[in-house]
This record gives sequence, C-alpha cells and structure tokens, in this order.
Amino acid sequence: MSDLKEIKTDLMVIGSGMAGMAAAMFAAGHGIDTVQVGISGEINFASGLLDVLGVHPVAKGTRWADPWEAIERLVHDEPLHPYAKLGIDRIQSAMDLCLDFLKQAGLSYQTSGRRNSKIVTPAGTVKTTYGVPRSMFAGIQALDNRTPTLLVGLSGLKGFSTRLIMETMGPSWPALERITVDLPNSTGELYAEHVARSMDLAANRRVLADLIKPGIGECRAVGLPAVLGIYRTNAALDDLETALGIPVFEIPTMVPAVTGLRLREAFEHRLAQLGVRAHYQQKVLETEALPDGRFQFLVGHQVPEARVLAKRAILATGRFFGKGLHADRLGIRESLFNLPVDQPDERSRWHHRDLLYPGGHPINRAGVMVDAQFRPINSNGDVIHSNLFAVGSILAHQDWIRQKCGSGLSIATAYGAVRTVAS
Amino acid sequence: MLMTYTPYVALLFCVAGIFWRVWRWCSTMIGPEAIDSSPWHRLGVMVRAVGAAVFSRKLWAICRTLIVDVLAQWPIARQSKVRWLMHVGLFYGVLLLVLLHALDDLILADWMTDYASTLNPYMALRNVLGFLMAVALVAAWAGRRRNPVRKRFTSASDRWLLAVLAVILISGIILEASQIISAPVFDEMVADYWGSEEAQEIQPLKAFWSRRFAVVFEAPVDGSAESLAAGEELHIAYCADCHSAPRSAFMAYPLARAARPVAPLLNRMRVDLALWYLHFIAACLALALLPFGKFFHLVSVPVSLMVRAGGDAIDTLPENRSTRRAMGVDACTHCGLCSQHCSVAPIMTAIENSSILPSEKMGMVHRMARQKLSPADLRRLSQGSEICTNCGRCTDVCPSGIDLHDLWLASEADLHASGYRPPHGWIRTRSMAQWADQIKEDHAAGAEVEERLPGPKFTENPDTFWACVQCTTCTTVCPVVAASDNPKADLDMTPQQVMNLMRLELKEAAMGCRMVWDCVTCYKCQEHCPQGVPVADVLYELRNEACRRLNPDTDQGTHTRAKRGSGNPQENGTERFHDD
Amino acid sequence: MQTQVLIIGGGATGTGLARDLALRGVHCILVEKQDINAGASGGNHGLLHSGARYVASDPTSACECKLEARLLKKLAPHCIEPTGGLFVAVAGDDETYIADFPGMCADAHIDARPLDIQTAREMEPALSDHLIAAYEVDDATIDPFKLSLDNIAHAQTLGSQLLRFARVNGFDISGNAIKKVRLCNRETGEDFSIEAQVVVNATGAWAGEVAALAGAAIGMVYSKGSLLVTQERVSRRVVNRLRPATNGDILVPGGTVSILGTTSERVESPDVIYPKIHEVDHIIQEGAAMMPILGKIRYIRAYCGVRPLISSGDEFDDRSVSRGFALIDHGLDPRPIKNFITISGGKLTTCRLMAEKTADQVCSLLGVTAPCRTRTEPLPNTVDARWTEPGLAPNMWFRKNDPNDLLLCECEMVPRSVVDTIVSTLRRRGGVPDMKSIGLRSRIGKGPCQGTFCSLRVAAYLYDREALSKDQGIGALCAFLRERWRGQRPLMWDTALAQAELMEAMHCGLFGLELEDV
Repeated sequence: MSDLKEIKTDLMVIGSGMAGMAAAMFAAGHGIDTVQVGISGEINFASGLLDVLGVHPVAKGTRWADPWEAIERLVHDEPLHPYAKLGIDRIQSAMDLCLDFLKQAGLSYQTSGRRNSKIVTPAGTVKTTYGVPRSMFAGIQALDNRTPTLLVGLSGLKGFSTRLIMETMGPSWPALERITVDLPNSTGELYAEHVARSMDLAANRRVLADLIKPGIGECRAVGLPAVLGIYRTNAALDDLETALGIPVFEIPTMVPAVTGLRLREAFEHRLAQLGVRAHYQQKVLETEALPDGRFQFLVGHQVPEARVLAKRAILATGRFFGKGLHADRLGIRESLFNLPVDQPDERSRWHHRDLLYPGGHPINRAGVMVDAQFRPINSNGDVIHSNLFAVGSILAHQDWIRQKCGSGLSIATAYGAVRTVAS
Repeated sequence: MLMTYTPYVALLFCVAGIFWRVWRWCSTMIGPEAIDSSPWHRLGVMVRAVGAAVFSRKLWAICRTLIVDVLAQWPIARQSKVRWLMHVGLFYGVLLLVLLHALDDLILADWMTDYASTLNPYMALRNVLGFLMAVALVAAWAGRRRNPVRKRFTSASDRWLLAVLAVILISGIILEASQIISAPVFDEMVADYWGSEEAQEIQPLKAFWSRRFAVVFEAPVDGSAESLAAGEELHIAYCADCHSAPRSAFMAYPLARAARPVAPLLNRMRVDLALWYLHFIAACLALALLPFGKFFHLVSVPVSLMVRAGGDAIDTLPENRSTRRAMGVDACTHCGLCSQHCSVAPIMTAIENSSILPSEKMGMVHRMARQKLSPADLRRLSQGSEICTNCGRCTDVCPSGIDLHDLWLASEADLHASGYRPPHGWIRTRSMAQWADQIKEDHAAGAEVEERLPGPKFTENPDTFWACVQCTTCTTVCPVVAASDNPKADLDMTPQQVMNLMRLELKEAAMGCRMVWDCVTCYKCQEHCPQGVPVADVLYELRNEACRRLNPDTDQGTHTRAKRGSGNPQENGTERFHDD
Repeated sequence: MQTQVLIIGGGATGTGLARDLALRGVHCILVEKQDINAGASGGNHGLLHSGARYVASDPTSACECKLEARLLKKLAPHCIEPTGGLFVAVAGDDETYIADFPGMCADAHIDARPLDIQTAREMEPALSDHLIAAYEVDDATIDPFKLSLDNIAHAQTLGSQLLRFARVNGFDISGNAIKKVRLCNRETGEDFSIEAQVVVNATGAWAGEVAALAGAAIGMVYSKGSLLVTQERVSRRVVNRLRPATNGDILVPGGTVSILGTTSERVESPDVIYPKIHEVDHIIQEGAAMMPILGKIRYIRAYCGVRPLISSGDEFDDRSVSRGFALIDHGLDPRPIKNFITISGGKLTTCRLMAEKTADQVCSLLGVTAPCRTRTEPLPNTVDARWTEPGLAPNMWFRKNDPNDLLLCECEMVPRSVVDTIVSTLRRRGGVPDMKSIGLRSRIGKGPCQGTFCSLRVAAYLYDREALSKDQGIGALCAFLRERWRGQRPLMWDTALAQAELMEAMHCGLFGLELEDV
C-alpha cells in the first residue's frame, strides 16, 4: 500500500454525476483545493434539462409554472425535504452560478425568466423544467405560441418519431409538419452521438440544412432531435438558423443523450481549467476515517491506484444506478461509509405494485439523512462525521423523479455543502 | 572432339536454360492480375512493353540504370563499401577473365594481330584479374561466415557459386604454373614451331627456358653462359613474339618455382593436361549453370534493374505485373540485406518462423506460386505474411531493385485466395451465421471438451451481461463503430449487441461476428460502461476462444482438436494443393 | 354476428376447443376479454407433467397426465422440449412419502426409475449435497403460448374467428337457452352481440363470474400461484421435490432460463393478482434447499396465475382440491340453460383432453357426429407463435443481415421485421397492434432493461409504421411498462433495482408518464 501514489487534498468530491460536478464547481469557485473521483459517464445519463421543481404534491400531480412558489409550498408540506435546508435565495444563487459556469464552459442555457418552461419530450408528452439548453429554447417558445413547426426526423435514429410527437401533440398543437431526412454516408442504425460529432463540422451542417430546406413550406420553426454538435452547439444552431432563416430547436432524446454528454464535456473541461484534480476513470474502492480526522480513500479502476488523504469529503454518489446506495433482499445500505439509510421497514413497501402510482414509490424517498449543513446523521440526529457531507439524489426525503427536481436538488445541495466547507 | 563440342553443349544448356527461366517468368502466377493470360501472351506483352520502353524517353533511364546500378553497382555501394569492393572485384574479375581470357580467341585474337595469351600485358593482366577475383572470393566467403544473419541464410546455391568460381580460379592458376614448368609442353611447342630436326640444336633454348622460363627438363641442361646466350638468340628468333617472361604471371610463377622439386613427376604425369581439362570443364560447367541457381543473377539482376527503370510503361500492364514479380524473385541474390533491415525481424526471437524474414519469404512465395509448398509450409508462410507490417524497408534496400512490397501484397492476395488468411481476414470468408453454425456443429460433433484456461472467464458468468442496462454507451464510444458508415455490414454486431448475444447464450454467433475480430481493444467501452460490464475483456476473450476453436493448429494452446476436414479454411486450402 | 358455437375465454382450453370444433367442421367464434393465455394458461410453469406429482393426491389425474403428455409429444413436438425430469428429496423431507413414492407410481402406471445419489448429481450438478433420494421420470416442458397461439391460428385457418379484447357483458336468455350474448369491444368501447347455438364458458378462473352472468352458480376457489424466472438455465431437466406438493418445489427449464415455483395462496378475485414479496422469498428459500444456487442467482421476472379450482365447499388446503377438470352441462342445473357448457379446472397437460371432452358435449348438443381429430392430427407450427421463442429473433436477424432492419429490443434482439410480422398478423386477424399484444407475441421487453429503451423505440416505430395514431402511444406505453413492472417489482434488489431506477428516471422523470396517464 505504501507504494501507492499519495494525494493530499482539502476536499474530496466522490461522484461525477450532476451533484459531484456541481460540488467540484462550487468548491473550485471558493478556491478550495479539490480532488474529484468518479467513473466517467454518470452525468451522461442527465437529460440536459435543469429541473428545479416541477410537480408538488406528487400524489395530485400538480405542475407549477413558478418553481420558487412551488418550493415554498413543498418546504411547508415536507419539512424534511433537502430544499428545506436551503431557502429560496440560496437555491436561486446556486442555479444562477451553475448556469453562468456552463455558459463560460461554452454550453449556454436559458430560462423563461424565473419561471418554469414547458418542453416537448420524445414520448410526445410535455415536461415542466427550469433551465433549458439554448439549443432547445426556441422549442419552448414554439410550443407556447403553437408556432407552425416542421419536425425533422433522421432515418435510422431509434426511439424518435416525428409522427409520434405530431399525433400525440396534435390536439393542442395542430400546426405541426414533419419530414424525415436520410443523412449521407450512413446506412442502417444512426447513433445520436455520432451525428452530433459530425455536426461539429460546418460542412455537415450545410448538408443537413439543404436536406431540411425543402420541407419548410409555411413552417416558422424547425425542431429536430438533439444532435447539433457536442462542442460547437452554438455555432451549429446559428449556422442552421441562418441557412434556414427561421428558429431551430432541438428536442430531447432518450438517455444517455448528447445533451448529457455536452454537460459532461463542459464540466470536465472547465473544472480542469479551474484546478480541480479529477480522476474520472476511477472510483473509491475503500474508505477509512483516520485518527487525525482526515479520510483516506483508495481509488482506482479495479485495483487501488492512488491513496487520497482528504480533510473533508462530499459524498455525491447518487442512488442505486449511481451505486451510492445498494439494496439486497433484506435492506438498503450506503455503499462507501455504511451511513444509516432511512428506508421503508420491509421490502414489500419499497415499490408500489403499480409503476405509475401517483404517490410514487417509497423507496425513492429512502436515502441518507443529513443535518442543516448536509452532514449525514443517524436516526437520533447525531452527526456521524463532522467533515463528511452528502449531496444530491442520495439524500432521503425527496423523490426527484416524481417531483422533477433532480438537477436543482443536486446543484442546490452541493452549493449548501460547499458553503459549509468554505466557511 | 570433347574439347570442341563441350563449349557448344554448355552454351546450348545456357541458352536453353535462360529461355526456360524467362518462360518461367511468364508462366509463374504471383498475384491475381494475370490469372487468364497464357505464358505466350505474357511473353509477347512483356517483349512489346520492353521494346516500347526502349524506344521511348525511358531509354535514358534504362541506360542510366545500366551504368549506375549495373556497371557501377551503386545500390551495393549504398549499403556497404566493403561489400561493394568485394562484389565489384568478383564481377569485373569474372567478366574480364571471360572476355579477355576465355573468349580471347574470339575477341583479342581478332583485334590484336600479335595477340598471344602468354604475352604481356595479357599474361600479367590475367594474373591481376585472377588475384582480384581470389581476393573477392575470400572476402565473400569470409563475409558470409562472419555476419551471423548472412551465415544463417547462406544457401547451397551460394556455396555452389563460390565453389565453382573457386575451382575455375584455382585450377587456372595451378594450370598456368604447371604449364610453366612443363617440359612436354615445351617439347610440343618445339615440335610445332621449330624448323630444325636436330635435337642437339635445341639444347641452348632448353637451357635458356630452363633458367628464365622455369621449365623443368628431366635431362640436365647445359647452364653455361654461352649456352644461355645461344639459347637467348634462339628464343628471340623463335619464341619471343609469343612469350613474355613468366615472372609477370605473378600468381602462377611463384607456384611454378615452388613446384620445381616435383616438376619431373608432374611433367611425366602430364598434370598440366589434367588441370587444363579441369579448368576447361569447370568453365563450361559455369556456362551451363548460368541459368541455374545463383549464377542466374548475373542475368536476372541487370534485367530486373533495367526493367524497373523502364517503369510504368512495363509495370502497369496487368499481364506484366505477375511476370515482373517472378522476375523479381529470380533476381534475388539472397544477399539478406532485406532481412537485416526488416522491421519485424525481431519477432523471430518469439516465433520461430523464418518466413517472417523477407529473404526467406521470397523463396516461399516463389515455391507457393509453383505450387510446391506443403500445407504446413503454407501456414507458416501465411503466418509470416500476417506479421509483415508492409513498412517497405525491404524494397528500399534491395540492391537487385526488386519491388518486394508489391510482391508481399500480391502473395498475400494469393494466400487469401487459397483460404490462408489472417484470423481477421478469414473470418470474413464466411458470414457470421455460417461461422455460428460451423462452431456449433464442431462442438456438437464431439470436438473434445475444452480444457479451461486459467484466469477469469468473463464470458461464462451470466452476471456479466445481466448488469447491462442497454444504454448503448459502449457502442457510441467505440471508435471502430464510429469509423464505419454501415456498422451492420462492416461489423455484423455492435459491442452492445455482442453482449446481448452472450446473455442470450448465442456464444457461437458472437465468436463469428466481425466486431469481435475488428475490436482494437482500446477499452473505451469498458471504461465508459456505467454498469461495469467488462465489454472489451469479453470481446478479447471471445476472440481468443474462437481462435482456439477454429484454428486448432495454432501454437498458442491447442485445447480443442476439431475433427479432420472440419471446414477449417486452412485445411480446405490444403486440399487444393493435394489435388494439384 | 352468428355462429354455431361461441367460446368464451382464450386460454389453453378455449383455443384447443376452437381447434377441436373447427376440425369437426363446426364454426365457432372465440371471444377473449384480454389476450391469448392472459389467465392461468399463461401464468404457469409450462410443465408437461409425467403424472408423478399427482400419484398421491389424485392417481386418476396422474394417469391422464401421462397419456396426454405422451400424445402431445407426438402431435405438437414444436411446442415441447422433452427434457426428462427428476424427483429429488433432501435431508429432512418426509421419509414415509419417499418410501411410498415408487409404489404409488407403480399403482398409477407412472414410470419412475430410481437413481443413486451420485448419478443424480452428475445429471444435475446444481443439486444439493444433502440429497437423499432421486427418481427419474418423463417430465417435459411445453410452451403454453405457442400451444395456444398455434391452436387458435389453426382454428382460424379452418374458418373460425377470434375476437380479442371482447368482454361478455351479459346473456339474453329465453326458454331455458341463451339466445344472444352481449359483448363489449374494450378497445373501441362499442357494444355488440353474438347469436350462437351453443355457448361454452372456458374462462378458467373467471368461470364462476361468467356463469353468474347467465344465472348459473359455480363454486370457485381462487388459488394464486407465483413463479420466478431465473437469469440462466439452472438445470437440464425438470426438477421436482419428492414430497407432498407444496411451495417452491418445482424447477422447470425453459429455453435459456429456469422457472421456479410455485405458491398457493387463496385470493378473493382472479382479476388483479400480483406476485408478493413474501411469496418470492419463500419460493427462493424452498428452492435453495433443493438447489443451493437458487438462493444466490438473479431472478429476472416473477409472475403468477390463478388456478381455476372448482370447489366442493370444504377444502382444507387448495392443493387437495382435485386437479381434474370439471365439465358442467348447465342444462342439468336446477335452473337449466340447455345450450350452455362450462369447462374449468384441470391443468395445462390435459388441456387437449379437456377440449376434446367439451367438444364431444358440444357436438352432442349440436347433433354433430364427426369424431375428434385432435387425438390424431398433428398441430401445425404456425408463424404466429414463432417469436416467443428465445434466441429465434436474433438468429433470424443476423442470418438475414439486413442493415436497415434495426433492433427495437436490444436485450432480446428483436428487430423491426419481427414487429412488422406481428403487426400484420394481428391486423389480418382483425386486432389493434398495441404494444402489450406485441410483447405477448415476441420477446420484446423481456430482457434486463425492463422495457426502458425498447418501449419507446417500439412505440416510435409503430407510429412511423402508422400502426398507432392519435395519443394511443402514451396509453400503450403505460400499459406495456406496467405489465413489465408487475413481474419485476418483487425482484427489485441489486442490479434489477438500479435498472428499474433508470427506467423510472426516463419514463417518469423525463417523459412524465405518471402525469399523463388517465
């Protein structure tokens, strides 16, 4: 073990999903010496839409146009919800800082002022969200105004049907037209990421514009699946809008999507510039609290490759898919520190027998309990490690899936935890 | 009579042999281009193309090649000055001896009215050339002995050439020495050119020749001053027009002096005659052997160099490409330079297969074209060809101007056509479905149970594949998939689909799909998998297992011995050659 | 609409009856309120019993099983895998039963060959080391979906009709006979009626409810049995626990998986049944005693069915209720309905026999004398049923090697062309190609992604093919995912839980399906 590379740091961020990235971002903003570890690819599963709060209470399915009003209501109804530890000002600051950061990283986001936006999904439904990639924002306005819009499909791209969206949205948005284009030099299946990479080149954008042009007719906007580049999305969008003469927008696709990849690239690139020492191909294999109060982490891909000694740590390992939580037949535990997990008393109460049960599944509210500073606590409220913080979806008493608050939860709790670390 | 006809017979052999070699250039098939052409047609095309090249601006290039590459032997000088000296010594030694000595009756006798081989400067020159040749021969022999690589690849043909030349040279020198001391030869000359019948009158000449020309007579001669003076007079009158002093034969003369004590015996035995026959027959043999073995490079290398200088006009015709390759193979002198410079030669330390080396592969290729390779040899050749990286160094260094790179590409194509392909190549000879059936059938037909290899067996653990959430990340990050415009046609399956085949227990199908064989093991898929599926490890393991199952004769672990004629392309390939 | 015979219920018996009657030249219409094999016919082990399981409780059934299994192996080999079977006992099992077993088998003429422990463990290496007895029997496995789909497809070729999603609302009865059956098309909501000379109630667990609509009373016991599907095939043969029938004592291989079951739980209604968590744990525990690997292996799906048991009123244990079938001629009821027959109970192995006996009864009512032909005529292997077979779709796909035939379901490798075939078959037979029906007829959604990706891909494709329109897709998506969820929920721990989380994140988090559903 002594021959392992030793890395000393003030702050260890564990996880490279939205919460981990946000924690590293805020820590870098405070000038804290930070090491980040996490298997690259987790944030790929982010939809790219930055939700703050869309639905409350979930049992009634009430959607909110004003997320801040919704949070006030949520905090009132669910005082244990992580948002209750923050207050609206801090959540807003966190979101503002994050959108600003992404803009500097070359990935522009837009919001409808301080209000939620409505966006069309590939299932033909309408999702309530807050921060929207600039490349999708024209779609929000087109939906609001029921603008006559041309939907562009790509043959070979699975899980995206312009006809599905047209037929499903038809009653509320009749002015939809559609066209399916065959991209040159590709036969068979098309992968969104490959198309997006090709759209980073101007010549390919011209080809796409030429393919779309004949279908425009009377339409005043063009919507197409999210494939407009990975690094040069702004340029791709501008080129297409110039060539077609009308607003162009992307429609989200199934995860893992290009929109998640853009987030990952933006975060990884910008965080490195800000001095975060990231180990994205590695994960924490072993954890130990040293007598001097520091944590020792053995990190590596499969076998330990380095030893990180950290004064503080932020746990942003996500839930079951992110492997922050693990469940066997008998119960749920936290994977790294074996922190107490608030959970239903037996497995039969983890999930409702109906997938779409409006109240949601109790297991989704299970998780790590924290105090007001986001330090994990046990059921008596005692802090377990004074220098360990937990943020993001691993937290208990929230249902980010049903409440549509995933990104906001990650960003705001990371903001809260880093504030404590910094002070 | 023997002496009269032997050279003609040798010449006949030589001419017929050369024609036979040229015929072989036109009948040997290396590469796919000339499959449908008859040798006559190819010969015609070749002659016309050469003619056209000669009467074009290419003539300049051809002449330049003749001077720089053939006569000055610049390609050898580029490699090594010592070697150049050796080769030039041998080349010009032999060439001038042939012209000025062997063919003296045809060449010098007509030009020089007073020519005689025993006159200076001819005699001295002969010795100079002989000396040059001797030095070069020793250098060539020593060079091959000293350099381990060249020593290893010195063939019988090389030894033959050196041996025959050495025999000619040594017999020539001793012959000259034996003639110097020969009294019978003196007597014959006297009989031919001396007018007087009186034996007594010849005594002074004998004395003079005994003293000055080292002839050894059995009867003692009168060595007095006046006898010598009289002998000198006679010599000037009768002999000096044709005979210079033998001292200028600086190779033979010392030998003759040294042989004086035994000279009477030698003279009685007419050793000079025996040596003359030996020398003469060896020279005829060399002539007859010219089209065979390494001797032929005297013809083929200049031809190869000049035809190459003729360039595109000759090379681009499809009929000529095969002919050129056969010509190139014949021009190989087996000098071993290519193997010394081969970028994959060090692999020989790991895989004992001499056909990795271009100099050896060359011969194999030629024998393959003549359909003289056994299946085992073909497999070795195939392995050697697979290892070649086509770096082109061999072509750059070849002093015979052989386009080895083109030869390798053509021979690889021929190997492929006979079913000898590298694994990723022969996997393409059939569709994935056909492989799946084949592998399954072999297995069902009782291919013996495989021994388990040590180490993790990712492919045998269903948990490996059940963790997959079908997010397609492995496929979208794969550079091999990204490089293809039509992944289904190029790769059969994407990485994700291979994982699913494994989960569905369609392992045989997975082993036959091209993705498995085209994977570059960059491990991007594995590193990006959110569920920790060891995608690259699985692909790698599948490839290894398929190799063992499909190619039971490979060295890397024979764990299954498939039944005979199991459709292994290597074996099917052998059948073709057996039929021939 | 008019027909000679109206069959209510599209399970193994109903479809078998339709074919039997069609072969006798009798025209029939089969109405099914859901889809083929929606009830117990789909929710079982797929075990073709040797009969040995019933030697103690019901020797007559045991013998019937043996004969029918032999017949089906001959007539419908494409639905059957002749795996053979074992009966094994482990330390602690009832030794009296073990001792009596060979005698009982002999009495019922069931072939059970004793094996020494070593041999048994060599035959099935996964067996426990605590094995104390083993017998070899002639069990086999049968694909009930293939069987029913082939039966009904054959009947349809012979001129009979199938109406799916047609629910019986009531019967118009006059003069002790059913004149008209009132039905509702559940897809369009339209009511319609059918006039039939004879009405057969082959609704299995729902027989009581349907009979009640005609005013006839049948005492039903609803016994739910749950089963688990393993991620890999654990045994080559069927493995039965050698003890009186109870929970978690049969392991049946099926293609690349094994099915472990069952339980027996009394339920109030056959309509909404779910495999429960404690049942799952119980089955695993019992199975692990027989084969320890069953305690550790990953399970990919749980499902259940309700056994249609005709009650005599005072059973102590549902397993003691006869597994024989009940053929009730309502013409003999206290309030007779002379053209109404109910067939229920029984088991999958004897479904052909049940159909035959019912058809005999129907024919006697109709005055048709044609003999039964299902006893001799082989069952045609039709296209309808093919795609339920694991591995078939991928095999076809890579053999055809068409770059434009994209995979819609990656897990089970089901391509567009298979969906096309199923859609056109469904349409030809007059149905709406919704996603659940396609799921029933293929392997779509049965892999580890739990429908996460294939659901939307299939929906998108169906829209592109104009097989779906308006907002049908959302309903189809919800129904499909709910169906997958039903089988996954009791097994959600470890990776399955992670996969379920991803599924919910996409379908609820991003698409908000829980907010759309009405």
